[in-house]
Amino acid sequence: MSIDIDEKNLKHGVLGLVIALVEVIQDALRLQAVKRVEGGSLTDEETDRLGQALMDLEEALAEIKAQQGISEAVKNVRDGLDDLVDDVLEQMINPSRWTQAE
Amino acid sequence: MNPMIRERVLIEVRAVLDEEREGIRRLIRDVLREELQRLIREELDNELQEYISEPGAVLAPAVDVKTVAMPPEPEAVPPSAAEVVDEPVPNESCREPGDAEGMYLYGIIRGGMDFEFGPMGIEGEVVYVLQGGEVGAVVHDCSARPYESSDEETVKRWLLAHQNVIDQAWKQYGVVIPTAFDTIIAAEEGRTPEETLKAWLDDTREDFMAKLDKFTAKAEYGVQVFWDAPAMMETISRENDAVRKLTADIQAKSKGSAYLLRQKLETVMKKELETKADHYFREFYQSIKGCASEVKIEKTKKLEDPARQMIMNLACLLPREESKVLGLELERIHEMACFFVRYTGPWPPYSFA
Repeated sequence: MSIDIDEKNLKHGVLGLVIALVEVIQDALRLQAVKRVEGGSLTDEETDRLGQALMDLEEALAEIKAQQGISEAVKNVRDGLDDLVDDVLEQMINPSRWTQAE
Repeated sequence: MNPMIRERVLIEVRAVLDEEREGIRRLIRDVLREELQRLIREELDNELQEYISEPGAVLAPAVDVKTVAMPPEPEAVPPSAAEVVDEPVPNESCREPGDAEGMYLYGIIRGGMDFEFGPMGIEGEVVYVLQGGEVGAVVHDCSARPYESSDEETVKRWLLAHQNVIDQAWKQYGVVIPTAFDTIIAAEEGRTPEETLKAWLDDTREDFMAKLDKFTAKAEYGVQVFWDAPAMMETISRENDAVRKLTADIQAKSKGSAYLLRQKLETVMKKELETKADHYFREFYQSIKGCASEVKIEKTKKLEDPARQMIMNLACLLPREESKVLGLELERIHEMACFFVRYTGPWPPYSFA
């Protein structure tokens, strides 16, 4: 199968992929931030700054997605990743399905 | 990549892995290792079998079966006695030139009575019963190549024909062990497909008879339970103390802190939702199990609509006359707030073959 490269497609694809990855990292950072706050090692001010930073990042990402019209592309990448992980987990915890695969 | 970012990401990934380490280890210990050992043992046995079997001796029932696609609802599984292999004919050197024909298998029935199915098979093939003593096979003659198509409509038509034949066999014989779509018996070691199939029926007779007995007067029913996730979340935010406290805290905090608290609230909500799903799954499963002879848990399918999320997908084998009892039980679940039930059947016992 040949890859159909047109400029718009490429931009959507690559940018979508990049933003999707940044979103995944953002999710991980957010998780850690909440953990740190729960751990009680941060002052109120630090907590607020951390939250503010993450909020800004989220807003910036949303803006980029809206501007570039790549919300759909990002969603596709993330859904693809989710499905992949789901499938792997599903197979791992259900050995009876192993023999049925493919 | 910027080495600092790289380092940061690696640390985060490690932290997540470290946290889950105990769980992962347990999973591998409990499930993977045992199963892997079993698979390796089986593989070894299979390989060795070829070397120790003497010429002319009857091989273990290694019938050539190719499974390409699963039929739609309910999903069928290949017969347990048959091995799924990639090549319709495993031993090239034993194949006679021009002897590429095969038999397409629809299902196994009790032998004895003949019934003319006529040209109702896939692509209008004539379907008939190959008698093998106590058991019989519903088949049509075909080439050894599996039915494959990239055209969805064609595959759908084939699947429908496949199911129609099984339904007909079910009607005529009262009980049938359905086989998966594209189960083809090919010629093997100088034997014709008919001889191969008969040998297989012979070797697996006890297994088939046991299954036929088990399926007698019974049918498969599909049970799917859905719930309205947003409505459930509302219930949680009303009833759960931790959630109520968090919601109140968010109001009092400054912007950045409130943001982090909202993240936490989301996580707590998700956990609560999962706990609830788990709780109801157990409850429903127990009560449904009480109404069925056998229950298989199938993978839930994701639907776009959050107000109709599937939390349970079961295949139940039960006496046909008791389907009303199960129906009443399901009615009770369906009446509960936030829950919906889909009850389908009777089907031939696809999931239990």
